[in-house]
Amino acid sequence: MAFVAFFLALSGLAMAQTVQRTQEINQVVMAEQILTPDGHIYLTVKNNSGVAITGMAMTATKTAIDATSGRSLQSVRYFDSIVNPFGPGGQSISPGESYRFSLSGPLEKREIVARLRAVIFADGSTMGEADWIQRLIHSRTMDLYYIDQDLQILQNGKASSEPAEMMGQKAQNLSDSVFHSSASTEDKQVAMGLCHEVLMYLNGNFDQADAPDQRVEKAISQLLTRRQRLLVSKPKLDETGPVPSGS
Amino acid sequence: MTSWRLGSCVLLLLFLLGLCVGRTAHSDNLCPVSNVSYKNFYDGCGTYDWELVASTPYDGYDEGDYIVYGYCAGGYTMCNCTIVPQYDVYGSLNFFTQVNEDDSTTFWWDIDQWNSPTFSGCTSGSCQSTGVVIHTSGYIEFDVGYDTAYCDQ
Repeated sequence: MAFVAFFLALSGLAMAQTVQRTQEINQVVMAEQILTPDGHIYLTVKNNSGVAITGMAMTATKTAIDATSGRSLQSVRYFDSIVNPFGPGGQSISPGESYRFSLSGPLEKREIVARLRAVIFADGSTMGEADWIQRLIHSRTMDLYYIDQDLQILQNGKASSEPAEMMGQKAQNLSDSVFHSSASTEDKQVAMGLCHEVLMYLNGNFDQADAPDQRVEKAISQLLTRRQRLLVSKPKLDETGPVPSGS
Repeated sequence: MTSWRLGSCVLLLLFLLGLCVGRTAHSDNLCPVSNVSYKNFYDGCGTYDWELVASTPYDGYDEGDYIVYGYCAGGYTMCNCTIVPQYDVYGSLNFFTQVNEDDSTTFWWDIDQWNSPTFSGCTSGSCQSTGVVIHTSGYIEFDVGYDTAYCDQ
């Protein structure tokens, strides 16, 4: 019953919505900024092309409209089914399908202007602003770079029979060094997110029934799955990769 | 010689003062951001729709809703014949902030998500023929975006 109520509530969000702005890129990708009756604002992007979308970048400026609505905020949102290949969000957006970026909720009082900046398709073609396309590709390249760093920690640790705790500490050290460097926010998110996932497996948070050596195997398997997804993605990534920003 | 020493001391003092002023300006976080997210809907089986909300001493920022997947399980017998009652496992939000050179603060969430569990038969135990082993797995959703708050405006 609660399950039904949950999805009724969610589907209710899709009804009686107000379109605030529209944007079209090359007549094949349509973006609509919509306000739902419960006060949420989304950017819904529809894929009218014949090829699936695997990556998107968008920005939103939230501007104070009066003295009570607070200070300005800049938002950046990404969708990338290659960097995040798991779960419902890991599906590319097929031709005719839509994806919804969540921008704000009922507590937000600022005026919001969202803009779709870049799109990457499954065949490697791209649309939008060159610097934002580059940011998407850079994130994929950095994801591959840090996956390889974490894999090296785990595979070397396994070969030398290191305790899982020591491997976890090395992964944490790598993540900390990126966080405290002048790397871009995207680089930090990738390095920290991967480390967090490795630690969840090594610590048995994801599967407490596993023995420590099985946990290491599962962490390696998860990273290899991510790595393979990146390697077969288009446009093809440079495996040697750029140096992390800020290093 | 005395005036040279005096001049050097004044210069040293000015240098140290400059260091102190510079350090104070960058070590104080003028725009601390905290996580005040709350839950909207529950599907009854581990999955919540969260409202991602951050706050500073001056403002609140509602960044919209996000579905955080968990799972529910139970109602099965383990290999040692223990009956496991129904239970829910929830995903979670992890909040990060980064203070920038211009005294703004960038913040983001990454999300612990769970896959649906799978089960396999027992290879040992007193309930080898009827018991099961539960296998759980998940993933971290990251690099889905960030926000930058400017508190000095």
